[in-house]
Amino acid sequence: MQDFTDLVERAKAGDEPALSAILTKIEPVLRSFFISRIGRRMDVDDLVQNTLLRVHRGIGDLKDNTRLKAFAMKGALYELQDFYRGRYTPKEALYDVFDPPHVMANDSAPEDVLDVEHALRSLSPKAREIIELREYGYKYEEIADMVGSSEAAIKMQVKRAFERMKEALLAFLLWMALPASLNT
Amino acid sequence: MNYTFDHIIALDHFSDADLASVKEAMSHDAELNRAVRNWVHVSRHIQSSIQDSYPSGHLLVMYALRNQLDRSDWTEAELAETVQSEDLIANSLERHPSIVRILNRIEGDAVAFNSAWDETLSSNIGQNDLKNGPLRDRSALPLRSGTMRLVRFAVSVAAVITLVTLSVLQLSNEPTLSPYVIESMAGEVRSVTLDDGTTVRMGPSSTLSWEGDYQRSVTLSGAAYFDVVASPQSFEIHTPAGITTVLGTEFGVQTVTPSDLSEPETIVTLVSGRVSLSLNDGDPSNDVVLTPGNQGVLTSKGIRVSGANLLEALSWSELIIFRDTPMKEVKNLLSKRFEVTIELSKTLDESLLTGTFEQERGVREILDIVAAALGATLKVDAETGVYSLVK
Repeated sequence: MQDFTDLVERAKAGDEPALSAILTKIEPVLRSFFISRIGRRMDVDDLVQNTLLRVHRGIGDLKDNTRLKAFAMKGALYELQDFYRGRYTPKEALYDVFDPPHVMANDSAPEDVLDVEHALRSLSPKAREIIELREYGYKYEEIADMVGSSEAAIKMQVKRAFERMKEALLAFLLWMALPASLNT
Repeated sequence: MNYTFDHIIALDHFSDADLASVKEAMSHDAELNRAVRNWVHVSRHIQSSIQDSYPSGHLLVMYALRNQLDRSDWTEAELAETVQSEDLIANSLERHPSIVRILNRIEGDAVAFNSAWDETLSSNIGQNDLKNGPLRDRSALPLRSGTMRLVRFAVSVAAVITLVTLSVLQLSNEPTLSPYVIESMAGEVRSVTLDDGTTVRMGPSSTLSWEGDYQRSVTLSGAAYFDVVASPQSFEIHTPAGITTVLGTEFGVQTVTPSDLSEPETIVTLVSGRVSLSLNDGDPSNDVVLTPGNQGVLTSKGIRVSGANLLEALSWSELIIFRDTPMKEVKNLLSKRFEVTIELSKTLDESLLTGTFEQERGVREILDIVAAALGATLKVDAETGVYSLVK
């Protein structure tokens, strides 16, 4: 196993070639790691580069020169979590193009009629867990790995969850449609 | 089961074009319109709840690794944040059991990182064994942003500096070194990365070696596929029948000693770039420059050049190589190679694909990359197993 202690000591002292050598050597480690976690996509390039930048900028904070591995791992795991949390942001922005609903002009806006908490409470704990993990940023295949199931089974659970939420929503809509005197 | 939910579940894999199609369908389908809008509302509520009540991703990492890392591995700011956030984490765990799954996943991430570190850096200086790493499918990837290119350039420069630094150290401390030898076992295809970033995919029972310091000059016995990093310094491969010289390219070299031949021959198949082939007689008038898609056969009598079917010529490398290949052909080849059914939308028929893929990655991952490169969407029918590329 390669020992980075000397290179780290020199890099912290401002030796640029030593820092460059460290970055060069850990680059394939990071690439291999990110490919194993999120697949071989262009996202991997960004994650590798961002982690290298973290190491580049933060190596001065490394207290123990023998602990480069832990230091790099921490940076890589931070980057991975940032990636998950931002994964669906662009798509969510695209949702806005769905408004306003032309063919629904006479309907109430969903915000007025959909009690989200009520709908979510209709779900089994496992279904709610799956939907939360999806919204956190994990893909269904990753969730399947996390909960020890198959992607197809996870998608089926989500479908059932939608059905249950739809039923809960219909009940809520019906309740809303009742005369006020019966609701009290 | 309501089909509208399929649209929502499939959002993971939707391209912009798919989303535009859904939008179009929503304009005349009230039920789909209602379902999508309701889901968007639910989704935003859950995301807002996660934003408000989940600890940050960094805090989750700190919490998951608190027993694995030393106190000295954390900055003072991280230590302070961990202490201040203990109540938040406890409350979050109670309210969202899904966080336990995320913490377990992060622990798994740490295990995967340790494995990647150990496997990649366990070899001696001068060789990085990338059993799980690239040959990069980089030609299938889109170009990166200017910032990313700058960072990559910095890393490339660092590679050169590393090489020079190591060379100086080794020269001063150990002036005479034994030959450096990398071998692949029978039946094994082995990938290694040399110090200059050049990747070599060695065929079974092959040997790659060099004397002393690695100086972009190697000797090959057997077969190997080279992806040579461009450099002002040429890269040389010595074989019994001659020398292959290159500045930066992808090609396969195979040394052959058939039983009916009295002498070995070397077969060089060029995928991209340019290589120069020379015989060992030192006569430059015999040199031949190979162009992509061609194959040169070196013997003591001379060099023969002919056109090559890259896939057949390099089949020993277990690589699937496309160079401006029409998608119709890509589809047929992958269908045959993996014995699956692949459907292609008409708009993709004439698209050209350039990329190099490791066969062991499997058809799903290869198609995933192809879809990304073409801006298409990959769909898999769970019942029939049919793969569809749609754009």
